Amino acid sequence: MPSTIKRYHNKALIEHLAQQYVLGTQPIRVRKRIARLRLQYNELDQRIDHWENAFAPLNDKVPEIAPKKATFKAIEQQLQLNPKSKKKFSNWFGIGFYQATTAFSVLFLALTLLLIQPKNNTDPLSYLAVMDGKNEQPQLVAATYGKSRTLSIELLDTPTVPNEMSLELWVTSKTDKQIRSLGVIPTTNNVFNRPLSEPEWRLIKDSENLLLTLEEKGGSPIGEPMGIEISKGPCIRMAGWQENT
Amino acid sequence: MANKMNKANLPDLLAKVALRDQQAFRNLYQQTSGKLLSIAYRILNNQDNANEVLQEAFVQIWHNASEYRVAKAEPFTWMAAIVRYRCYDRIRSENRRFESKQSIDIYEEEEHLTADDQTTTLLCDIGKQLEDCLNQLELIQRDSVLMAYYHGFSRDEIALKLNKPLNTVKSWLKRGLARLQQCLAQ
Repeated sequence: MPSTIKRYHNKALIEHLAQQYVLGTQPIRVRKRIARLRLQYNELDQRIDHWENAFAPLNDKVPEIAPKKATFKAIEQQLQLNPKSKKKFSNWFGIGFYQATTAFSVLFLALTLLLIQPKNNTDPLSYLAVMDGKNEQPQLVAATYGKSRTLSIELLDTPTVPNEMSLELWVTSKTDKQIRSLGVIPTTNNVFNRPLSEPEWRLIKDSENLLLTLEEKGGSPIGEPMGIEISKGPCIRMAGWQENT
Repeated sequence: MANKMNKANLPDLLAKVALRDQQAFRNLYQQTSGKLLSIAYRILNNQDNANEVLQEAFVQIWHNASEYRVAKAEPFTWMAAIVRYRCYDRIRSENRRFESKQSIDIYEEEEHLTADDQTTTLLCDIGKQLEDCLNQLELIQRDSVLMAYYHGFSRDEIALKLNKPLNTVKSWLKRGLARLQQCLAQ
C-alpha cells in the first residue's frame, strides 16, 4: 500500500484534517485537496460530517439578512430557470390533452374533497392521492385530513372484486421505499372513512405513493403485496395543515 | 422574498430540487437565503461579496441536491457548509483582510465579547450541549475556535491578531477541539 494511502488511514491525522477543514483554517490548496480526499476516504468524510454537525447549532440562530433582489434573478439567469410568471391559459394546451384533463380532474377532486370533508369543515385536507387504474383513468381518490386524522377513500370506478378476495391499500415509504399496508378497503360503498392510528399517520406523512392490490380475503398473509395491482398514484401533500401535530 | 424557515420541510424541498423542481428551489431559497446570507456576511464582512457567495452556493445546491443524504446531516447544515466553505475559499484565495479595516472592527468586537466574559451572551441561543462544551474550554481556546468558525480567520490571522506565535495558536485550536470532542461525546 503506498504511503500516501496509508497516511489517510491514520485516525489522528484524519481527525486533525477534518477539524481544520470544518473550521476553515487551512490554506486554499489544502482545502481543495481535502475536498477531493473526502470523496475517496470514507472515514475522513464521516469525521467532516461529524464536525459539521457538532458546530451546526452555531448557524441555527443567526439573524436573517435579506438578500438583494438581484441575487435570485442572477441565480435564475445562471441556471436558465424560467422566471416565475402566471401561465397563460393557452399554455395548458401545450402539455397535451390527457395531462391537462388529468390536472383539471385532480384540481376538481381536491376542491370537491375540500367541500365534502368528513366530520367538520375546518378539518384541513392534508394528503391527496388520485390513483389510476391500468387504463390510466382515475379509479380511486384517497385523502387524509390533518386534524381528525381520517382516511377517506372514494371509489370512482369500483373494480370487480371476487367474493374470496379483498382490496388492500398500501403505502410506499419515501425514506426506505418499503411498502406497508393500510388495511383492507371495503367495496360495499363508494365512500369509506376511517380514523388513522399514529403509526398509520406517520406512514402517510412519509408516503411516496399509494397502491391498491387485489389480495386474498382479509388481506395479504405476508404483509406485502402479493396480488394484482389495481391502481397506483403519487401521494401529494396539500398545504395548510400543521405538520407536527 | 424571505419566508420563515420550516426545517421539517427542507428535506422534501431538497428532494424536489434534485428532481429539478423550480418552484421547490424558489421555496428553498425563500426559506433559507436570509440565514445563509447572514452566515456569509459574518465571514466576508461585505454585502456584495456575501450576495455573490449566496448566488454561487445556490447554483451549487441546484446542481448537487441529489448528493444530499438525510442520514449525514440536516439540510440546513449541508447548505450552510456549502456557503461557509465557499466563503473560506474566497477569503483564502484573495488572501484577504489583513488590510481591511472591517476585520479590525470584528476582532475588536470579538475581543470585547470575550474580554468581559460575555461569550455566553454570544452563545446564548446555540444548542445547549455545544454551548456548555464551549464554555468549558479555556477562554483563549474558545476564542480561537470561534474566530475561525464564525469569522473565517486563518491560523496565521489569529496569531497576528492575538500577537502570539503561530504554533501557539495551532496548539490552542488542537487542544480546544480535542476537549470539545470529549465533552460532546459525553
